[in-house]
Amino acid sequence: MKSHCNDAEFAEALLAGTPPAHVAECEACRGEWEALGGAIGSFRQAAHQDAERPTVFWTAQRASIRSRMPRRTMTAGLRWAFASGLFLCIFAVMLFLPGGTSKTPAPINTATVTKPALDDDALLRQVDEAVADDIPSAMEPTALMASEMSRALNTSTQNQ
Amino acid sequence: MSATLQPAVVAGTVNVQGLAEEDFESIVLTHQQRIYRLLLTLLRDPDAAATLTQDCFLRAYEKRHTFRGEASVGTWLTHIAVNLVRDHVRNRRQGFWKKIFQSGSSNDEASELAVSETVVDAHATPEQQVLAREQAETVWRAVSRLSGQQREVFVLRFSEEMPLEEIAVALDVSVGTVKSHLSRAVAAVRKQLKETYGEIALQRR
Ligand SMILES: [Zn+2]
Repeated sequence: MKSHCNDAEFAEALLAGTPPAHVAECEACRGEWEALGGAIGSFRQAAHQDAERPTVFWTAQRASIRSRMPRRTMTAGLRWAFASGLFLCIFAVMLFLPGGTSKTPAPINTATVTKPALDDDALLRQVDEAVADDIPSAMEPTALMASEMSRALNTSTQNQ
Repeated sequence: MSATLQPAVVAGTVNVQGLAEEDFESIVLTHQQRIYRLLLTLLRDPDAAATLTQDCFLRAYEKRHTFRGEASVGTWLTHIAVNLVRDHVRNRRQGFWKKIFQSGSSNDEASELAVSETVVDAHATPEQQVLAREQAETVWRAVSRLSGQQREVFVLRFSEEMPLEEIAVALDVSVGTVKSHLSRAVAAVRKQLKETYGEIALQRR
């Protein structure tokens, strides 16, 4: 008969989950094997029982973990603030820019511009009238430019 | 945090390069109970276990970009948890000695603090589990006298039932070292069982 099981053999057997072969023929080692396995099993059971907590405990833990992640919440918050601000800016630009809406500038009186011999004062007066004529201030430079271009076109046509 | 997480990533059965921020709620949900249990078993202090569980996930979150998927998420979290336990025990020990030197306290206080590390929680135990509880205590008495790493190996193997290879990765040691620690731990438990119940009584149990 083989000598009694040593620590390493018991450890190996515990890891494998099967008793050492010697246990079958030795009452002393069988008793020890059962006591060892039983005690370690009780240890595991107690560890699991002691760590049992109600659902509210785990929920609170998660909430606490979340609240202690400052970088993440701040980044997300900033991201949202930035996105909202950007959206508002775009919306405001779309709303107030006349080019982007149905509000069209008043047509420039081209008939007057086609008159061949207008002096500078008369032309300025026409421009003033056209500018004052319900054109939003944002469009004033555009209207002025359009009028200048028309005048230049007419002048060149006359010269030819 | 999103619900579109791949279950394999959370369970740690797939290799990933870093962990997405959105994965974290699911990771906490999946692993929090196991991590808390491990910390509680190693520290026997519910408050410390609760705090360190949070610390564990926060540290994992901070280091999520360094996760390379070489180990499972579970093993990676275990590694972090064990390191937190070591830090905690080190700080507690330093605090203990500081307390002794500052107050010039008696040996009674010293032994009281030492014992509190090994005493079971005062949770109510069902009467039918008294024997099992007594056995568990006997095992814990033996385990508490082991070195920190031997105790970690024993708990990871016999309480958390982790495979040897994963224990080796979590503790950053070889499988041979894990086996050696386990052998010593089993020897200590055998010895404690004999001391507590006696050689003959043990054979009759
Ligand atoms: Zn024998």
